[in-house]
Amino acid sequence: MAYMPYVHHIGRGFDHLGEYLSPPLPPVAARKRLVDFRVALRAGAPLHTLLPPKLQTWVITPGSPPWTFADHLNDDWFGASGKGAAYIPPTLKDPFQQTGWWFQWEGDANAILRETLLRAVEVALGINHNDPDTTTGPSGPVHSPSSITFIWTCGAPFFQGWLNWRDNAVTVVFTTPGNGKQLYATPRPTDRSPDYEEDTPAVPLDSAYRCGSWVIGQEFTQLFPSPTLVPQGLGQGFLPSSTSKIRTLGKIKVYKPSENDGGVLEIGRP
Amino acid sequence: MSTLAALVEKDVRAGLGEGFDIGGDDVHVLVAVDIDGAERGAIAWEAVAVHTREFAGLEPTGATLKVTGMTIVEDVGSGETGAKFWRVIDWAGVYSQLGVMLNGRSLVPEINR
Repeated sequence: MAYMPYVHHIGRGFDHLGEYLSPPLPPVAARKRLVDFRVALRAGAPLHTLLPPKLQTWVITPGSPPWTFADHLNDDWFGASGKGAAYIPPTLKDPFQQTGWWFQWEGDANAILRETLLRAVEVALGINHNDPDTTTGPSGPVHSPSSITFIWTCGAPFFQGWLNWRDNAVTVVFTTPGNGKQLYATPRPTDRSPDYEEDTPAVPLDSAYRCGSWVIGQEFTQLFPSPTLVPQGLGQGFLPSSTSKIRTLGKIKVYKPSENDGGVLEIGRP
Repeated sequence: MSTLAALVEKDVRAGLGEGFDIGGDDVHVLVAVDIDGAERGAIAWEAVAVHTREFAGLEPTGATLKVTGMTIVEDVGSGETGAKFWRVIDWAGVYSQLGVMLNGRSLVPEINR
């Protein structure tokens, strides 16, 4: 399984989903795929059954039983509700129970994800939430649906879905709590998969490809841990200046992370 | 109130008071331990404080918090001007009460897989 070493992630799973919901098909056929997805979402089908076929069959870790992408989605992302238990909204008096792997957060990730996908598909189709399920869309010529790109930002206080669009491109951003995974302290990746690339003055990264996801930041990071215990005079040095501090420094660097690190393949995942 | 307890209360009011308002009866001694007679002592304390000024870069929230800590005092006999204060304060609890969140990711220079 990918390790999500950045706060920003697309990776194989979200790239497959984006490709599936942005099919290079004639307009009516492309719209039909999104409409079918919308119908199934509204009918309450479990999300893992709506995934593109390549995700439904993705075995992340072979074994007995194998750990599949559907397992990852249902266990890590959705917690108990993903394992078949009905989601029971907690009351204010209930003890906290973390959802899935989301650090110190409890909530209905499944429902948020589903609603976000539903709204994303509707925006891509150019229809409103209460419009009927039709492949023809608004009156006039039938247009292809907008392309959809999914991005995951990991390290926020809570789980939310964000829809952004301009003209014929929809960008969906999921901001989620951290998942406990380690985070690269610099934009420089340590994964040296063949699809990793580094921009250099002599050989800049190539923007001529169909897909891309680059990270731009300073090359070094310095951490300032909290001060150690020292004796002080009365009232002096009482308040902490803050929690740990971070300084980034050095040259501005541009990297193309590998897909394994949350980047995308240059040809996408058709 | 003992000299030790009075010193710690003054320390809490002076130090914590830079970021918080503390009422007249809002600093409480939980446990007091004398060590080496008048030279050293330890106090576990709690204070009820209102976040009215910038604290650790955070704008005032107006939140009322319970702050707890343990202070060891050296040279108790030297009084306000000479005593030294070793403080262990539950700042994590303070941040939590203010809604400051950890982001659930640990920074590392390399990730070994």
